[in-house]
Amino acid sequence: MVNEKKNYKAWLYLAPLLFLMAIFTIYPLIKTILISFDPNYNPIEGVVNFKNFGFDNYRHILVGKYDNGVYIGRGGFDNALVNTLLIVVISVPLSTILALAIAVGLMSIEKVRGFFQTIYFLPYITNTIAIGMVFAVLFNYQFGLVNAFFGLFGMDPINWVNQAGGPVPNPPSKTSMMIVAQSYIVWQALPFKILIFVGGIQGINKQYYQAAQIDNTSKWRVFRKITVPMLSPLIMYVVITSLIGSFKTYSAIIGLFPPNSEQVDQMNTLVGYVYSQLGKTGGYSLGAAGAVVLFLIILVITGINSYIGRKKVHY
Amino acid sequence: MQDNILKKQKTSLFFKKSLTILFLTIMALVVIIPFYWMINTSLKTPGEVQKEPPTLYPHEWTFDNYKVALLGKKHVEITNLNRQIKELETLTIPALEAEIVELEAKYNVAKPEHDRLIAEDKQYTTTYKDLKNDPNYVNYEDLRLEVQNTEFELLRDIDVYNSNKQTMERLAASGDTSSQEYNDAKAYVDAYEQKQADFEIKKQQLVDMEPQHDQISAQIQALEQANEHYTPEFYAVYQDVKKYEDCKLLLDNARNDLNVALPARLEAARNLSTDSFGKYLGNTLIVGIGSTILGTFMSIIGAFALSRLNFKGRELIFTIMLATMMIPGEMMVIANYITVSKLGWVDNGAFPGAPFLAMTIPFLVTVFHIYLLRQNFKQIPDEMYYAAKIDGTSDWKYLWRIMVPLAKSSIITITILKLMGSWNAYIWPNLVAGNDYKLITVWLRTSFNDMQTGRVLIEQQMAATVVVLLPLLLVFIFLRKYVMRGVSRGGIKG
Repeated sequence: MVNEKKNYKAWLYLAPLLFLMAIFTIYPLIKTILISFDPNYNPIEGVVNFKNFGFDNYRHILVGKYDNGVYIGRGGFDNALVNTLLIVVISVPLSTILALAIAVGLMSIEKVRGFFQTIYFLPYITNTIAIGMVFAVLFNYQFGLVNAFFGLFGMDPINWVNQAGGPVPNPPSKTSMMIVAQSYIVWQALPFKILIFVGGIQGINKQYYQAAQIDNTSKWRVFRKITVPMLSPLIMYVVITSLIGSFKTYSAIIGLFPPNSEQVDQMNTLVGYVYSQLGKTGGYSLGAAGAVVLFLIILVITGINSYIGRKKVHY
Repeated sequence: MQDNILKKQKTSLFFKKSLTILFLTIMALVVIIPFYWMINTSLKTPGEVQKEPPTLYPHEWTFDNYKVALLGKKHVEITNLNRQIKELETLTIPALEAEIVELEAKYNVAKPEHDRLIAEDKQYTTTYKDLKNDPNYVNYEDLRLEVQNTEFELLRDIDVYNSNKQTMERLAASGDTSSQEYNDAKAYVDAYEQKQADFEIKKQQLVDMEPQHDQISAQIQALEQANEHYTPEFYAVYQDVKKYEDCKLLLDNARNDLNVALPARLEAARNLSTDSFGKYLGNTLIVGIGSTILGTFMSIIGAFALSRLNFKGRELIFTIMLATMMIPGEMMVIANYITVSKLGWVDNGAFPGAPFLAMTIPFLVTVFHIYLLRQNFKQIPDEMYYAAKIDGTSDWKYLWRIMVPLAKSSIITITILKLMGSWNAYIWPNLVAGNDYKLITVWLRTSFNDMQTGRVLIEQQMAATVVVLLPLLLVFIFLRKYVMRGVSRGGIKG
């Protein structure tokens, strides 16, 4: 009898929550999937047309489209996908290895550890856009610190990001922009990873290390045979979260490259692609398809994670 | 023996430790440099920012960039102009007026004498110029230069001429006068001899012109020697007049600035946009506080229902909620954008404040926060709930009187994460909010370009960056405990 009453009360507590989730999470999820199959979705009519229902949008963004027999390309999705994959493939391993090295280094010193730890944690609570702008200033063509530093070794200045955004005689190359983006993303990813790894190393039972010390084991061997295996679940966790995070990179690009410029278009990412389709004619269909592709990628990573997680990485 | 090994181990250990510290220091530098550079740039003047290579610390540092960033261009410009006007009115002009009265007396005395001397000087100058431009004088000088040049060339080429002449004679002697070599040599010799003949003629002309030239030259020299009227007396007179005229010019300029130039600039400044930190801070606080209060409230009652109350389908709902955490937010962007546009919440909105709704309502439910709170609520022993029930406390009262205070630290964590989320939000607010509803980060990214030159106002941009990062730093310093709780339970960033 109490349960009956409670039942309706509980739903009352949950009502606003479920209402909002229905409108802003579940409904858009279903609608986006539907739009992604409708090549001519018009947001003003707002109705998904089932007449041309099919994989046209996916074919357009993944393979390319022919308009009256003329190849009109993939609408920038290929560029966004390649950029995102490059960021994922380079920045994730690089930042993970660097963070691991720093964490191990931090644990091997005692006196100034706290000081270093505070410094390494600084980039964590920052505004991605804001620090991206600082990096753009550091990489400024004329007045930047990076070009001044390389100038000491006789290198000619490079226009890394074209900070002002306008047309210039020496527009930045894709490589230079990629270098800046990767260094910023690695810089930004370090603190969280260092934090997790330091916590992990602290949690490893000291007896393992003491035993190794008695056996006079080399440091490198200790690292390979004790630290890494004991940390493996954490390394897995860090790699997975940072894989997902890197696939969703966009703010960093906005911070680094001037708004509405050619550079920011060239460096577009998957998330950027989805946003850039809003407001374009026919863009909603392509954007929805792009969003679904991103969703599938993340789903696959999460799937791999739970599969490995079940098997237990450990040692 | 053993001692030796120990020593060796010790040195190698020391070496390794130094290497480690070196590595850590370099990485720490890499981490810290962007922060240093941001502060460094924000304190420089616009002139110093545009120095190549950049200065490593601000040589002439200024807080003006912060003033512009915080108070807005309009405010700073108007304040500066008002200060200038006041300075002119109360200091510069009265001082000049006092000075000019003094100078005027001297000026009245010196002026006639000054004018006379100037007239004389003018006449002298005119005559001198006429003489210098006299054709007889000028032509002679030109011709002399030409003759000198030709003489030099003739002397220079004499060896070549001689060798060519010898070749010519040799070939003529052997009767080979039709060969190419002979022709070339002959051409050179002829040209040289022609030049020599010209030279002789011009030299004679020069001698003929000499008397007239010498006469003019003597006149010029006489004038130059007579140029002795720049006496100390003249300077004194000249100074008196000049001082007065300079002072008068200054006064006129100052009066013009006060009455014409500065009011015009003031008028222009009044038309500047009111873009300022304050306005966007207000917007951000409205969005931040609104979404924090509503969002936390919903998370609390949601987590309460999902942890404390028993009902059919509870686990299913919670599982679905957790499943939505895996879906990237970009999945919802397109449909949500269509929804908020249809509701009239985009740009400047169908009604005042509508964009605030677009920036808060879609993000009120954060499953991670519900998860965090639910964990916390579940730790509260059931006995307390039953005891409260026996006392006749309602669920609602139990939630707010007992559960919420017990889960205080989690709620603080959620609040901080929500506020930080609004503070850092860019992409969605940039998409939906019109000019009047911009948030802090949008202001930061889009405000600091010089419209006329296209230059990025780096120094102001960096000052604004410092302003935006400062609250985050304060949160980090004073509320680190709460932030870390969020981090360790699943992270706020990817």
